[in-house]
Amino acid sequence: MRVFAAGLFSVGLITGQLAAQTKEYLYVGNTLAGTVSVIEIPTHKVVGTIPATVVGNGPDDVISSRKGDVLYISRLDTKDVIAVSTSTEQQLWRAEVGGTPNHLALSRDERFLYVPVYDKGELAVIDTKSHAVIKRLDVGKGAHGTILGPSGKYIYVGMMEANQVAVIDVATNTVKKIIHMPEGVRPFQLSPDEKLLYAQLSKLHGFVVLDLTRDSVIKTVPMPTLGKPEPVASERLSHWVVNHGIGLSNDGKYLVANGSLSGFTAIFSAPDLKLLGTIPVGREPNWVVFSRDGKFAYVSNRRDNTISVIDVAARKETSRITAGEFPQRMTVAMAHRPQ
Amino acid sequence: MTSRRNALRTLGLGLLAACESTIARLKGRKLVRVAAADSVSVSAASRTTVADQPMIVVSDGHKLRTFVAVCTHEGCPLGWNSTQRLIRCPCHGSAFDTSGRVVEGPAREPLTELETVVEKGGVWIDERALAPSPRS
Repeated sequence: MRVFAAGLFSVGLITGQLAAQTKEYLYVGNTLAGTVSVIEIPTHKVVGTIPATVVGNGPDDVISSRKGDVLYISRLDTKDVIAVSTSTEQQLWRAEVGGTPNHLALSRDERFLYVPVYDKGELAVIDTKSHAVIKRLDVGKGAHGTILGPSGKYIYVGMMEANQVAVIDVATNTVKKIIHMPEGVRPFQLSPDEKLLYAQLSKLHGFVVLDLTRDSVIKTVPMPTLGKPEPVASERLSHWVVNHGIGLSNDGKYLVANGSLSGFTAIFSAPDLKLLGTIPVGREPNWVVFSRDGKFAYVSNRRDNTISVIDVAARKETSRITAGEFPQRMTVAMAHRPQ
Repeated sequence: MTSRRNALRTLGLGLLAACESTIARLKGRKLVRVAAADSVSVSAASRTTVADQPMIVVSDGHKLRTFVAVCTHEGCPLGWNSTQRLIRCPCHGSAFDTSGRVVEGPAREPLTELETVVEKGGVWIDERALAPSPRS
């Protein structure tokens, strides 16, 4: 009895210690370095780096489980996805997807990991228990961005080459519908009620609003030019990219969109999409995520290896953090790191 | 006998290298150093930026070659995967071999190669080959 009680006490102590160690972190995938920078929130100090010996091979996207215990990382060079424990920062498993994987999404129950395979025009569905690809869905050429809708019922996939969005029914893992878009679909976000999709498009210095109840674009929101000529993309030099990186705060009140060829980010109110301010950031801003409380937005500046910390309410950059080489995708997670 | 042959070979290679750089300079070219020759091997590449232009120096097993390290798909700066011995793009995964040829898309065009001179322990290119970075 005494041993049992002592055991319970120990378990409680360990659980308490782990809970006490759980903090909010920003994980940044550094594609050329092959590493993941770990940045503590809200101190915004780099507290660690998951090394290339664990990650490596061109990490493209980094997302986390809801509990924050696992990072899922797509890797361009080896055409696979790895799962990494945040508590040990070691690889748990690896799954090949048979093509170039881009931006990832998890089903709400985390049973399925959705991997757009750019060069195959497919969405690979990985069973996170067996670590195997259990299904491949034809979604269109240049499958690139993938997001789980707030209802948890649908996965949305944006196609860079096929100018369309595919909507996947999570219950059956089948394509529910294809929505045609005016141009190649770059990063996008969904409104909390899942009625609107905000998408950056190739060739467009702005973003569009897609009404998902009518499957039609209802608005084009221009990005400011800040007194300069409007940035022009070309196929050879930028493959038509003008802007890359759009984020929506968890409460859906703020939308942050990067002007990637212009070196700034813009804050809009949502859903009315009024421009609240523009903030100069580093070179070629590429991705946007928010802290859990929505106080900070983080912008990865992939050309100068930095992360801009944006105070959303103050509408200013409060610090710029040095990450690894070519930082791109990021995720925020509550995790406990190795001590 | 072998050592004499080796010495002659070294001398010959040295003369050839000297000739290359001399000919280049006689043509009025200014050479710019982009890497230390011993920093590049079959498994190791050297990446640098000169005049805002990313460069990568690789060994194809026979000679050192310099390429503009900008992906021909989206203009992203290129990296090196030493395990695969491939020049790789961090944006959409294109891959190029040590001859600059595309081995994996979405890129379709080969890399731009720059005339490379190896001498005095360095890897050099013609300054006139440098052009402003397309995304600067």
